[in-house]
Amino acid sequence: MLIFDTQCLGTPENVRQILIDLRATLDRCFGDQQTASAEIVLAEILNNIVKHAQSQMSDGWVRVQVYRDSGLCQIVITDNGVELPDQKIPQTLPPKVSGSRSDLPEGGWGWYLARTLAQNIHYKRNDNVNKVCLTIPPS
Amino acid sequence: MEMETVTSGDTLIIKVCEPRIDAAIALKFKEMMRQASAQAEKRILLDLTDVDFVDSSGLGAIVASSKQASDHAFELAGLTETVAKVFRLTRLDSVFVIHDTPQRAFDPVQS
Repeated sequence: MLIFDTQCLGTPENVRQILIDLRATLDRCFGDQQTASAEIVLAEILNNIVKHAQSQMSDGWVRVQVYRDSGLCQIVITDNGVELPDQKIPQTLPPKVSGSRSDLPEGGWGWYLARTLAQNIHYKRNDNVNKVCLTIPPS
Repeated sequence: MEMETVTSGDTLIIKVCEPRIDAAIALKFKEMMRQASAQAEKRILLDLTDVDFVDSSGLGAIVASSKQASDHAFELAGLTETVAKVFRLTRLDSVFVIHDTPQRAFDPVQS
């Protein structure tokens, strides 16, 4: 059952609002951990779209749809940015966190967080539109 | 971007009065932290009690802020549940000293 469907221009401020609205909706349908995971995963994917896939566009849009299917939270993210490198979900390892403070990474966690908290992440591209589908399992 | 600073002994407590440290605010956060940290004597305590969400941009901004204050101790307090989760998943919880509450940061050190 579709419980959330929103589309807007791809900007950090709009991403923030999507996440705030998403949390309010998911709070009513899923447990705390599942809602938190969904918000984290979506934050990372949407930020990547805005920052990378749509970095050279002024008319980039994103659409987020959420379905509730038994206890599962299924999310579909669609956008008109450029395609993912190699048309694949990046399998980057998380940056190494150790050593001295000056060596600490300042980014590179996005896809790692998404892959850790979501399942069955699929990517497709058709007609210059990217579509990522994933499931947030109950915790 | 709202922040409050309070000096307690040789510790500068920087309280973030925003619910989210995210991509929309990360640059502003870093800049404000750089300015606020200049007041610190020995230790900076970043109070995140009011923050209920930090994305990886926010994490990066917090790390960058700690590097900006390289000659001070830099500790965190008041991580709410989702924020603690992101610190744990990225293993940043093993790198920063994290106190349950800002008050706990002033407990005598257990020997």
